[in-house]
Amino acid sequence: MAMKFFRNYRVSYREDRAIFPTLINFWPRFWFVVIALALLLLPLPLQQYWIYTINLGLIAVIGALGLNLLTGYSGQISIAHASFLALGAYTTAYLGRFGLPLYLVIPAAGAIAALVGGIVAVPALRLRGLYLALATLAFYAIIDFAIRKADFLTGGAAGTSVAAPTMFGKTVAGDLSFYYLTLGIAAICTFFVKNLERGKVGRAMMAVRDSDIAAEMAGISLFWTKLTAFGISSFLGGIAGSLLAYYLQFINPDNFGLAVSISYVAMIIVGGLGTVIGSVFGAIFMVFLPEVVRVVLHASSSVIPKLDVAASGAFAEGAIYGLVIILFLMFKPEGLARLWRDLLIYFRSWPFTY
Amino acid sequence: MEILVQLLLSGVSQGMGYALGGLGFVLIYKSTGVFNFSHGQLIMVGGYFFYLFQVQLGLPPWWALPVALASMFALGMAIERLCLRPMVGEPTIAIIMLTIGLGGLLRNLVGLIWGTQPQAPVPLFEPGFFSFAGAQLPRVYAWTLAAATLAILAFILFFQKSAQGMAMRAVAFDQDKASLSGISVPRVFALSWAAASVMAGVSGILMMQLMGLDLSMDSRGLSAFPAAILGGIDSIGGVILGGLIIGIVEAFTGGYLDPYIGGGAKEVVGFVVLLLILMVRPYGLFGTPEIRKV
Repeated sequence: MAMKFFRNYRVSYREDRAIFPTLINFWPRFWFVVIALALLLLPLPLQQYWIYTINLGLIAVIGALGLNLLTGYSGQISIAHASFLALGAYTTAYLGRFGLPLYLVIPAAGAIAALVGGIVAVPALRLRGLYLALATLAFYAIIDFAIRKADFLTGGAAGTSVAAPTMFGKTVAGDLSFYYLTLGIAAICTFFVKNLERGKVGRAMMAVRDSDIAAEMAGISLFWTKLTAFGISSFLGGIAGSLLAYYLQFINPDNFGLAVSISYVAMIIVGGLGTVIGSVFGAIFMVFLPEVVRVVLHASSSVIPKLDVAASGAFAEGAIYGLVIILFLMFKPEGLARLWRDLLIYFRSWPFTY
Repeated sequence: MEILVQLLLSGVSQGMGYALGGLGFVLIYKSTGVFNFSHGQLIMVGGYFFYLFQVQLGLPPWWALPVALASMFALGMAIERLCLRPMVGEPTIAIIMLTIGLGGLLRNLVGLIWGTQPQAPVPLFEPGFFSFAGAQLPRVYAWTLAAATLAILAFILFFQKSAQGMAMRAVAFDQDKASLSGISVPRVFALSWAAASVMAGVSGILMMQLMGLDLSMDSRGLSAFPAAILGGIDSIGGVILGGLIIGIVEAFTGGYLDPYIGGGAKEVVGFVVLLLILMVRPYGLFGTPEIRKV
């Protein structure tokens, strides 16, 4: 198969089915390789603190992909995503006590979260829109309560420490090796969701989102589609929670508060509902936003001496999350993904307007 | 017996607080079709506004009350104008998420301004006890109950009798026909948010008398959701009953179950009830089932 320099049509079914159809052309391939290499080399010159922030960003990418699958692709609002992260994290903490390697623990964490996600899906099948949002809120409250009460499993409100991840007898320690671990898993998850999007399951989800009655008339099982959406979404959430637990090494219920759920909702709105690239952009945006806020607060603390940066930092962060959600919904409802697409189109047709 | 009466009264007075909060929530839903996820935070903001005027600015309580409620009125108006009006015609999911974002914003602004420390409000009602059915009960419960009942009656009277209230009901019933008969729908939307915020404010001020004022109040305010859903999101009588049921269930759970499991069940039982209701009767006890057409 000869690769042309530029071709905006496809000549085989294989190309049609490709996960990234644009990669038949030279420049997209070129940039793909460049970005992949850049991601591999990225942490080497950075300070430890920035690698730490990037790692949190990569974990958030996995979680946001999960929530976007549920909310963006399937149209099911959930404010219980933090609970699935919590389930994954506590499964990791529990299994870590037995010294299991990470390639068993992480899928197990995802599976436990997916199992509970499937249970959540059952009442969700009857509910839509705001009623579903309320039901997930109730689930959040109940799971939070259960975690705080089940001391013997979770350490209760005081929290529990998490054993370091091990793989093939070696311990994965340090920010740099953790970067490559999360990068690998985030890449797998991204390909997985991208692959799901173009296939039968993804299309069924979008059909349910756009009109559930019409989808059912077309022979799509609402039950299985919603169940799959909840299951996969919480599976990814569980994996994100598992990685977070490994990385933080100590977890307590406050790591998975309602604010975490809301920050995930913010990520997918800011990034763009129902897009893979949006989940990635949104997660990275929302993880780096507090860093920007912190810098601005430090700068302004010299102007306003009464401002206590340490105490007000978390609140300023939360307030800005809220504000960002509102502003994006009002002015850029399609999020960063739309901006990215416009940018690509601009460069593709440059120097012409169209 | 004594503890039963005490729990019942505390549940009923708490429940009237929820009903009052839920009423504002139902009002917004009925007339504008928006499900306001930031209502718990509005209730909390009401409490903090009262604290600001009564304690921090030192106004006498019967001055602080109207000033705090007027501020809530203005806040509700501003929220509708700035955030909700541009969203008219957007999909439900976007509007729900907007109110979730608004809730986060309000909560964190309160945290930013007043901090995490619990604040000590000056009691609005005289402290002390009274005896009823052989039990010594704190006076504040009876006062809160009376005040909440009075406030609910005042609001119902407002909806039934005043021109504005009738305009609101007309818009809730049929927007187009209300608009055709000369009612300004945007004005009613703004007024609904303002009135609902005032109700949230009253609810917050009363809740504060019962359990103090701190940042966890918004999650207590969230109990207005089960109250509203239990009765049916669009039924005013239902929300009062729903509030009472949730209040009493919470009080009994707190009284009888919490000592055995070490606390916390009181906060979550409302959500358990909510989940059960949603599974059995998604439209609540008195709500209108939603009829969907393709």
